[in-house]
Amino acid sequence: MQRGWSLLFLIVPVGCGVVYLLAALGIPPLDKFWLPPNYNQTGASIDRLFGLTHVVAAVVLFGTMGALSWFCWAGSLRERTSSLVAHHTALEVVWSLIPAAILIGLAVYQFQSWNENKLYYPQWERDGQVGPKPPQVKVVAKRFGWEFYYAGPDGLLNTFDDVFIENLLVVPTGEDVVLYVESRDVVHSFFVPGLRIKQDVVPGLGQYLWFRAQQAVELEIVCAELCGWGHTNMQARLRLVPRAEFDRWIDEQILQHRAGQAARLSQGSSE
Amino acid sequence: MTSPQATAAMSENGRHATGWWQRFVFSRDHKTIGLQFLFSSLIWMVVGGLMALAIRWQLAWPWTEIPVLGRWMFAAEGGQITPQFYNVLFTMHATIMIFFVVIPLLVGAFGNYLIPLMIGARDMAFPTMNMLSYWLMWPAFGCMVVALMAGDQGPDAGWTAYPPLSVVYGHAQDWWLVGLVFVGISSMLGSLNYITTIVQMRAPGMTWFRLPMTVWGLFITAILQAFALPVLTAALLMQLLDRWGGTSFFVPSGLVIEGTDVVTGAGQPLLWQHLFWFYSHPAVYIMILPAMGMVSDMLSCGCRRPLFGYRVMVVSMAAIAGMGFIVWGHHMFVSGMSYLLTVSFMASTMLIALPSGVKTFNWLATLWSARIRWTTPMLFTVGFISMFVIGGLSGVVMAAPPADILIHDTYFIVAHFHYVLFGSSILAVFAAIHFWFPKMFGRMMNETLGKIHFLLTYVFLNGTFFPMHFLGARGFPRRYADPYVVEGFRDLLPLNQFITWCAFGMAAAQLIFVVNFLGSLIVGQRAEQNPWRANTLDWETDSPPPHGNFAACPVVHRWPYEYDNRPGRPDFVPQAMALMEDDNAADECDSNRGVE
Amino acid sequence: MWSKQLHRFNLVRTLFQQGCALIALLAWMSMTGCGKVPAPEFRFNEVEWLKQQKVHLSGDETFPDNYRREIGTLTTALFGTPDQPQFPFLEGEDTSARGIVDLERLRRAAGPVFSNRDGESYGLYRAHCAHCHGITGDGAGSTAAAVQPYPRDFRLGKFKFKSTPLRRPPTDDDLTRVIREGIPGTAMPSFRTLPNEDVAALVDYVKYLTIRGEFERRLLAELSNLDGQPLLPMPLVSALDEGQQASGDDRRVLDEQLSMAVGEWLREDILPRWQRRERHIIAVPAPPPAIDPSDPQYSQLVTTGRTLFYGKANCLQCHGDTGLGDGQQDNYDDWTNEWLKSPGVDPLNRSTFRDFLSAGALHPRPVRPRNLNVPVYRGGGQWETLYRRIAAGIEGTPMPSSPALSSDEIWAVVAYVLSMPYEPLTR
Repeated sequence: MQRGWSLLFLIVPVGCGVVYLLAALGIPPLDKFWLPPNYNQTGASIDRLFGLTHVVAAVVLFGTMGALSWFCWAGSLRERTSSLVAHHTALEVVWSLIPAAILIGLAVYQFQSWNENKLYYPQWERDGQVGPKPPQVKVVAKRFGWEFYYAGPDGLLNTFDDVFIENLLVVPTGEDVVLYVESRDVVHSFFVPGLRIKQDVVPGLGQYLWFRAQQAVELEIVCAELCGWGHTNMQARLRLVPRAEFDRWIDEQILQHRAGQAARLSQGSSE
Repeated sequence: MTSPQATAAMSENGRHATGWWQRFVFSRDHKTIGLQFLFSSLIWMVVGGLMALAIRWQLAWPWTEIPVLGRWMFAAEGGQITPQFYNVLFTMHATIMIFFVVIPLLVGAFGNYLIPLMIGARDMAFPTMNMLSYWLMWPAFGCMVVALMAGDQGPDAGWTAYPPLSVVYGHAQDWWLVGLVFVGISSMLGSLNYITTIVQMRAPGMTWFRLPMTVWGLFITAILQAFALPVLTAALLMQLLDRWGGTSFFVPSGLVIEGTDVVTGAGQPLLWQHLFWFYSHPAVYIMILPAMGMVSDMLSCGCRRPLFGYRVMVVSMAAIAGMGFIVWGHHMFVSGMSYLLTVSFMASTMLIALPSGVKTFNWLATLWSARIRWTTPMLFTVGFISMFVIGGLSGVVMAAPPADILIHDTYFIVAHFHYVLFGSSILAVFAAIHFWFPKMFGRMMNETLGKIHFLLTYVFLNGTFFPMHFLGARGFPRRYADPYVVEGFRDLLPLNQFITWCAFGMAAAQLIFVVNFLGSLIVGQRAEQNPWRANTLDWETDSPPPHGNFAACPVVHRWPYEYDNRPGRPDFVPQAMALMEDDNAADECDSNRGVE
Repeated sequence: MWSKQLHRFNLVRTLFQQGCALIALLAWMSMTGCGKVPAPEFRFNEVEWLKQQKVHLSGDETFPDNYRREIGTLTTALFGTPDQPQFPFLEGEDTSARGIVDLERLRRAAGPVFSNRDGESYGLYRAHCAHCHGITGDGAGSTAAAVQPYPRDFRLGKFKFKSTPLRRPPTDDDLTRVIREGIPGTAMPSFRTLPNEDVAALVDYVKYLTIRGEFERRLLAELSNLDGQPLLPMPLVSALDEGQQASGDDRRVLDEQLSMAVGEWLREDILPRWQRRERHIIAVPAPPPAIDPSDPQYSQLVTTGRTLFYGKANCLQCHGDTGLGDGQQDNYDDWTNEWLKSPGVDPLNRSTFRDFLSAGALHPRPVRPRNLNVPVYRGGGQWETLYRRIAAGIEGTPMPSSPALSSDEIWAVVAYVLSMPYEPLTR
């Protein structure tokens, strides 16, 4: 009976770890309990990092839990011969240095992903000069929704022909997309699990976000920072479409928003 | 060893007030104050726990009639709670559990009860201040009750209370802020008291490196509190001023609130986040260091062998506390902080995992070649270690900013801190309650009930919190009243229902503890002075200790982890036992036994 | 003598008592909490009840309380409950109301929230709308008081952003647009992520709540003419009270009697307006080419609009000299005026309308004219919608229709309004 406890300390944590591994390896029916599919080019490095830290974590978990339950098992049997050793310098140095090396290794390894995702700002070439790419869409977060402003026919944001649409973001695939996010009232967070991007949207602090999607797909934008009672409902749709389709769509929006609408109306009212 | 004569002599020394009120309510005796902290925290734990169940109910069966609460508060809506009330629920759950349960239990209850006993002092350095530190909790309790009375108009900005949400909205937020200011003052008084007591009032022979780990943990915690709390208190007052004083520390200009322009000064919402986390990250260590200390002592006692790497453990604790002040930015990786600053916070966060890891290895080494007695405290102690490993490892996963982009503010975070706060701190509290119950009340707790309680808690705790990692990996956000309006999260409903069932199982298991605790108070087997055969000074006096703790001031001769495996002798060597000729405690306490 | 035994004993007893009290409290909580909560009900229109009394009765006189019960019985018989909606389709009449709402959609939108095995959501209204608009559609949900402007009370039958003229109900397209796009600048979010059929169900449910509220108000307006007589023949009321579960022929007989008694109000006043709304859509003439900013005549048009804004159209009266919305500030909207205009009520003196507040009215807040320097347009920023706002006004608000302006003049004002946010500060 006494020894049974050591099995408990083996079975429960290791069981958890095994379930976790199965999910990570994508074994059905646990495969849906892992990262959602990634559509962002630089997001792959995040997934790699996430996987690698989990490998390290799994090794440490199985190692420590195995040792723990083994020691417990042995300790349950022992009669009056417990060791009185209270420190061992070499051992202590080893188990400080190895984790330190692993942690520093992880810290260095993750830097590449951070660099790729956040420190590199997308560049573009215009008039023969390479410079930072200006944002294509202005995102305004508010309680409880997302407003998206596209440049109108003049190609500039923040002018009077901006096209405004709420809770629907359409952007082209295959190129860097830069968003300018700002908040109208409280702190929100622009979170697209499928693109591995999340950015708190702080009022009074405009920020840039970028990604490069590879595949046409429809995703969800959710709010990840508590913004009040409607926090749950603060979601929008993100439609990633090929460039040609995007151009068609934006033209349609511009038309619908301005002249084209009037044309349609004049046809309609002439009956 | 206290003789009846000594007790009588002590009662005549005139230090003790005799009235009922002075003795049991406004007592200045550290033991009574500790018990007061213990009982009020346990009662708040029931409140906070029921709130957690309400939260789980909503996540498993969203918008259905919620038991009890639905009938009380939302009969007109058919028992369906409102989304604001859900926000109130998780705000108050966190506030209560952190400020009224975990910190008061570890620091208030066990800190008060154990520090003087373990260092061989008669009481705290400032008994009146000590009493004040407890009774200042009551205005805080009052404020929170008033805030809760507001129903779904209560504080709903989360326990982190990020402005502008917390400044512009919510009426009961003021009560929340004032309540926490009181908690801050209370903890401040307590921590000054602890520091003074431990520095000044150690028994003869109790050198720094003969202090039990519990005292070390509490000492370092007290220092953390003394340095970090003023920042929180100042930030809370600043938020109050923003709400009522017309200042704008945290509110930027040009907000559009509900279609109305609100033009205020040029405040900075991130300032609050920095101030808040400058306290609240060290607060995480305030909630774990005392637990680590107590666990180290109980582990050594349960293993019948010296604690492995005592000095390294102390240094690790100090390192955790020191580095705890420079890692707060990892709560803000996606907050809009500079991306380069993020990198430095990442580095310090990775490094702080190191001392925690070293502590874990030392505990494992203590278990190595041990002679384990599976008492209930020992079970909870080993449970603590295994849960701390899981909580710590998920912490390493989150320490990398790129990974945090995905899992920040998702259930992965919820899983992580519940493993640390419930899986570790609360399991350590259960262990400590079982361990020191005989000292506190003179009776033993029932071992069978305790073991059943442990088994169920341990299993259901993993069932509840482990699947939250999966939710988080999928990007399932925290603080969502109804996550299933998002199509991508709809298939996670069955998993949430599983979690909720486990949470209910865990809550039911706590009823065993309630029965065991209350029952043992009345009918528990009488405890002897040192039922666990432990070494520290608290076991050198009666159970429960009389006023003044010790009949004669104890003298300390050795470190607290001296064990003996020679036949024909007791296997433990109390700290107060004088050195003997064949004693192999080497010369002095300072050179702990090691492999040469 | 100080005894440690005594110490322990008393402490234990005190703690034991605390524990027992706690257990008793928990037991009481669980006992009172057991059992089903009764199904939610539509809230009676207390504000209108109070207003009718103030308008038609003198002093402390009140209507007999049985009217209240009769109205409840009658509306429940015709419209059902929040969990089980019905609709008086007036079957067999030549004006059958089939086209207004679809019962299947109502059932999806009504009732408690759940999803079936196919992932279809039910209880949509309570999941998405009731927090603000209230289960009754009275605009008094739990978050209502914190929202500016207040959530809409459907029961007046008035809607702001629509393509029909004043006093005409909105079309389904109008309601769909508001739900899908939201109302920028207010707490009304966009529900674009909901499936189309969910939005359609919600549109029908909004119409249902509106018609139910209009009917209830119609009955309340009738009370002052009754002179103490029952609203309906008493046998019918008691038959209705008992007949909730009646089926088959009994039910049909009951329905016929009901139709005889109250049918004319529905048949002649309320339902026809909803049946004929599509015919009244305001036609929007083609805008002049100059409205396009790239057109050479554009600045000419804007100048014309500006002259009109400050002159003939008199926009500045409310929207202010600079269009900041800082003109006249003491207007109330119709939903507030509805009771605020009752005899003896002074908007600035709370004590004169305390009884209305306790009847459920929200504290009166003056309407704020829009700040036109911010490019946020509640009804949508398209030329077409802005034209309609100016031509037909905004129902329920002080924004009037402008019969005096020609369509070209209206287009000029539209062009000017659209340019205002980007207008140089000095001109």
